[in-house]
Amino acid sequence: MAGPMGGTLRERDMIVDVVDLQYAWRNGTGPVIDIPSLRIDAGERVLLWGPSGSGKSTLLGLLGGVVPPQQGRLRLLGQDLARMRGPQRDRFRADHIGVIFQLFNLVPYLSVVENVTLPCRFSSHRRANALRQSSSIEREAIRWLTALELSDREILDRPVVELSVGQQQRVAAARALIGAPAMVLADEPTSALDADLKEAFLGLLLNECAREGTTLLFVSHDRSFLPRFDRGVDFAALNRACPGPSAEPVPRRRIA
Amino acid sequence: MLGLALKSLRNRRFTAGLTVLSIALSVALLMGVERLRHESQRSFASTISGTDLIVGARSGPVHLLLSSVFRIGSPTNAISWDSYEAIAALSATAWAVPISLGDTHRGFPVAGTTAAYFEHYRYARERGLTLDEGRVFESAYEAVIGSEVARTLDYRSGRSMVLSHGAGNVSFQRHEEAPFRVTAVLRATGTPVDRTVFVSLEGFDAMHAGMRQGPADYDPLKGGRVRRPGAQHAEHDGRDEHKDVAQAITAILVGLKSRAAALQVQRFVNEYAAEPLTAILPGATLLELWSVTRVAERALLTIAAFVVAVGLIGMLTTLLTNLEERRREMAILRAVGAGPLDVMALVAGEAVFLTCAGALLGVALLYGFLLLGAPALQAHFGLFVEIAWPSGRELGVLGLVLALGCLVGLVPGYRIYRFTLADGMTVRL
Ligand SMILES: Nc1ncnc2c1ncn2[C@@H]1O[C@H](COP(=O)(O)OP(=O)(O)OP(=O)(O)O)[C@@H](O)[C@H]1O
Ligand SMILES: [Mg+2]
Repeated sequence: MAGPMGGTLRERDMIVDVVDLQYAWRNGTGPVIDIPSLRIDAGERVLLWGPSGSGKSTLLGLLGGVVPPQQGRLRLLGQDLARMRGPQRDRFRADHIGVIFQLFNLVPYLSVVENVTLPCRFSSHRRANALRQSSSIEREAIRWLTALELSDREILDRPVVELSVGQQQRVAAARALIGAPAMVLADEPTSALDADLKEAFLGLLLNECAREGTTLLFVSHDRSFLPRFDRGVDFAALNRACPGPSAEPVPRRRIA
Repeated sequence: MLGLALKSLRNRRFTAGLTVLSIALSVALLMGVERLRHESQRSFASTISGTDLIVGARSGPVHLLLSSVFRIGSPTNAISWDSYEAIAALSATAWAVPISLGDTHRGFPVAGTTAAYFEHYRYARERGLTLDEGRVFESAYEAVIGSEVARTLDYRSGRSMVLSHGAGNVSFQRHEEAPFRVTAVLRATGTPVDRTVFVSLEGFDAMHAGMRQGPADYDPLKGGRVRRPGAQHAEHDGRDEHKDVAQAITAILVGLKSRAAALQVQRFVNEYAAEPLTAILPGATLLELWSVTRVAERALLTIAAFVVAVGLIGMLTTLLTNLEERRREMAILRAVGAGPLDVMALVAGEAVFLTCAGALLGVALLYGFLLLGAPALQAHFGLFVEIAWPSGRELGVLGLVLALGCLVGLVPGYRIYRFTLADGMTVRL
């Protein structure tokens, strides 16, 4: 998997290359995703905004290899996710992708440092990358936590469920970034934070990605962040399966 | 992955501990029932090893076996001394030991017999009886007692005891006039011998005769045993009840020169013309007994099996209730690279771990109970439990429980597998 990850490749090449991608949830009411084309270059920091229920999280699931693709071209780092089998996609995700959710990012029974080092347990590639930076993955975790302004011993020793939401999100960011993944997928990581914390968190995340050259795909309802990113994508315009922005949100008809 | 699983379990150690405990208790119960079944059969079977035939009055074979060897139930009817002599005189007979039963001493059965009993009786394959102290009785008013009699009543050799007449603890007539002297205590055998008071046949008779005459006037040994029937008792005709019992014995233990003759001798006894007799082969009769007890054993085992099922269903319930909460945790693990099968293994493996831990603890509990309870079992039920390694059958039962535990684990495993496939990137709870 490490093949296409050369340093020069990272700067030049496309990280995401999507053409005519379509997806429908099996129990859903029709296609959720229908994207003619989406390209993201290495090192780009992209804001993706769009209405609720328009399929943003579904797209992230496809890009992360959690949701198996159905139709169309889906290439990441030059590799065809559509052609991979499930376990290969899992490896690919472990090696190259960091994920931050909106909420509930941490495994409750693991310590802060254990949560951050989690990707290194699943990927020897990221473990090796981490060990290139520090003498141990725990040290590397602490280095990232420090970079995200969470160096307090007192915080590190506390059970993760006792951390504030803002602290939890920063721990999640450290976990997404450890071991130099090629891309970080962030699914509305700031929407549970209040305005000041939002700004602070976003600043830290953007800085670290820039410093590491990590590609960032950041999903949000809120397009006011746009100036701070390299580029913005209006999901409503990108996704043909998505009704226009003026329309009501997609009717969420669920099978009873 | 394993480290994660253990940490996750530690986080839920209270429910996990309860689950392990309930499985452990059910496993201990199941294996305990099986163990007691096995041990009681072994204990019964090892009680009569050297005896080829048991002869008594015509009755059910099981009844004869239980009363003559295990002192359970009422003794069979008396048989005459002549019959004993006829059987002892057979060419196939190596030895024959008469036994008279029906009396008790403070709750312990009294057996009238001859010194030959101590020579020929065998238990646990080839083991014979050993005297811990003293010597076998030589006169009518001497007794040899089993180890448990000695321990419970705190009797030693040399001490005298008063034997009563009639089965049961309370007797209407205490034979105060007939004190017996203990000459020896038998070493513990783990058989009903331990609970028996042995006296000579003459002593057994004297217990009754003594009612009128007192021991001083009565010493049947002087006359020799051959003249036993009739002669002495003619003196006190007033006590017909005693006369009949005294002239008779209850059963005969027979050893043959060759096992092959067993069926032939059995036929001879069964067709004996002078009085109706039964001869039984102890081994065959034990099998008959097992076929009777099998129903109860099956019922017990079935109940125990259901208890195990309840334990496993309890585990299934806790695993399934936890599942919803764990969907988020699983989504996180998936995000960092775990596949749906890893997630499934994590949940199913937990069931396997809990079952294994439960089974191990169950076995430990069983041996704990056995170690602590063995003396009580022996004291109250005369059941001598050997603390042995698990038998093949028990290991089989254990394996079955483990297999069922793994099977049960597949249910939440499969559910979480479906969840992780359906949830995608975000868990919507
Ligand atoms: N796991 C799932 N199973 C079935 N349908 C789903 C699943 N996840 C999402 N959907 C459906 O797909 C559509 C898009 O959902 P998605 O979560 O991708 O939207 P979103 O843009 O992320 O919304 P939000 O901004 O509210 O997070 C919705 O109609 C939703 O009901
Ligand atoms: Mg979403």
